[in-house]
Amino acid sequence: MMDISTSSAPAIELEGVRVSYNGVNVLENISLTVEPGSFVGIIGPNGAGKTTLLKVILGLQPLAAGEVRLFGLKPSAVLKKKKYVGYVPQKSLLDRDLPFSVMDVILMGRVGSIGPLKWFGKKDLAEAENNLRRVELLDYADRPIGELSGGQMQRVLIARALSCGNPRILILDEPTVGVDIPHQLDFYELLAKLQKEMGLTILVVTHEVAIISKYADRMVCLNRTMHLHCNPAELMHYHGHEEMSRCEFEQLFGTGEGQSDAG
Amino acid sequence: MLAEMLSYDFMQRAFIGGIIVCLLCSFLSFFVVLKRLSFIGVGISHSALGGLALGVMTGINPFLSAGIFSTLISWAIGITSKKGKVHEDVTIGIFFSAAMAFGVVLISLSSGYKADLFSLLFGNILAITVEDLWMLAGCGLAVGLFLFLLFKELLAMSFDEEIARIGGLPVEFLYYGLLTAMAVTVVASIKVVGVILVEALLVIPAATGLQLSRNYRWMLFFSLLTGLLSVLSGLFLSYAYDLPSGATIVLCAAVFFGLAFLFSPSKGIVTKRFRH
Repeated sequence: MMDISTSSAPAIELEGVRVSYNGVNVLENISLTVEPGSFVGIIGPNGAGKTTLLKVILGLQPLAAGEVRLFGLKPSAVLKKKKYVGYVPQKSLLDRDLPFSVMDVILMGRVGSIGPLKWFGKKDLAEAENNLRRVELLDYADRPIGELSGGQMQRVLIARALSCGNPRILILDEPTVGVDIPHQLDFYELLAKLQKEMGLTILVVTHEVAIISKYADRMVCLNRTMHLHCNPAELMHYHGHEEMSRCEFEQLFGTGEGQSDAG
Repeated sequence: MLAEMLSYDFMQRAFIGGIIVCLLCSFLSFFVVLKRLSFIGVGISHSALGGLALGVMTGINPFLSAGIFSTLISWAIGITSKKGKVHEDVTIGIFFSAAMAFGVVLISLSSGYKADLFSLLFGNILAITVEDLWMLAGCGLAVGLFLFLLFKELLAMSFDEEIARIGGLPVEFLYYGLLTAMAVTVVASIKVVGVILVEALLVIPAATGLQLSRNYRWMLFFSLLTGLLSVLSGLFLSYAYDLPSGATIVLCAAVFFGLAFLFSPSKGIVTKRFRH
């Protein structure tokens, strides 16, 4: 196995990526290089193809053109074998009435890395506890998920993503929808801490420009194609700081002619 | 009376067959409830009638043809609801009624089989033969092994399909495998409870388990227990009071669910009231 800590390959590399649904290009001409250990914010209007871009990186989306590599490898190989990528979906999608404890949820995120015909072993439990400690929820391991607050649930989902096997990249899709500002700040502080401690590469899709630009090293502005790939300060400079905090994205990027975000 | 009841060969076979079917259905119901497949279960079970009739008409073993037919229908429901633009509930509504209508028309064309329609719909556990038991054991073993060997994968897929897929699990295989297991189980259960009532056994045990527990391990345990108690009490009551056995088993299961719903220590509505 290639030792990625010494490899010079970028964490994420996209080259001329194009994705189409029924002949319509949803993403076009996306070229992007993300260095290991960086924190990237992806912003753009609804229907800009943000979720599709995440799917491309996760290896779940067939490409019409272009190439994707994660640490120099094909995403499908990473998905099946290496388990480098942890994913945090929008929290609202999970059914909290299901009879699962916090520990169960985290172990469920590990199933793909254990292999068939084996039950969870000591190593899996230790790794899960490790990750619960990282998100400061170790005392909640046996709680049913129905008893958690929204913020706690979100941290559980991070711990689950970190338990994916061999976490190097953490991908989050609008993780702070419906969360108040103080809790958003806590959430991003936690991500920044994980980025430093574990050397994680972090990718966040969000609409909260003001907050993400405080934490991200690099920003990607997306609307079907890539408009900007820059550091957050340039982003502020480019559009003007006041404009950024006041305006709708439609106004910033021209009317985002609407595909739905679901694709 | 129990000793007398068990002295009959046909009652022994009924007990063995009933226990296999109920345990199998209860195990499967665990996933049916977690993954919310109960309406797909309705679709699969009702469409089995079409497959049975097809077998009778063509001279193929009706259970074999029903197994194949139901499996195909279950896949068709899965494909149309996952890929199509039609909502799942609409698809199922169309498939199950059409397949059932197909079965009724075929049966009406084949003279002499009408008398058995009632037992296909509602089961006839006392008519279980030794051959049926072997078939049941075979189906039970196949489905049981599938659920047992892939338990954590099926659990992960039922809990969060997206994360399971990103974890590299073969989500499509697991999903269609589960649908196939449902089709096989439905057909294996026809003699015990019939195509109309089997749905109850695919839902009630796990629904009862879910009422009684907030941990999936106990949910599975209570699910199996509910299934077992339902078949034992149902068969006993149907023998004692001369009631139709399949329907009595299902009623017993429903009563257990009702009790759990009212008096569950953690979730029961009566228990909650007393706590406040």
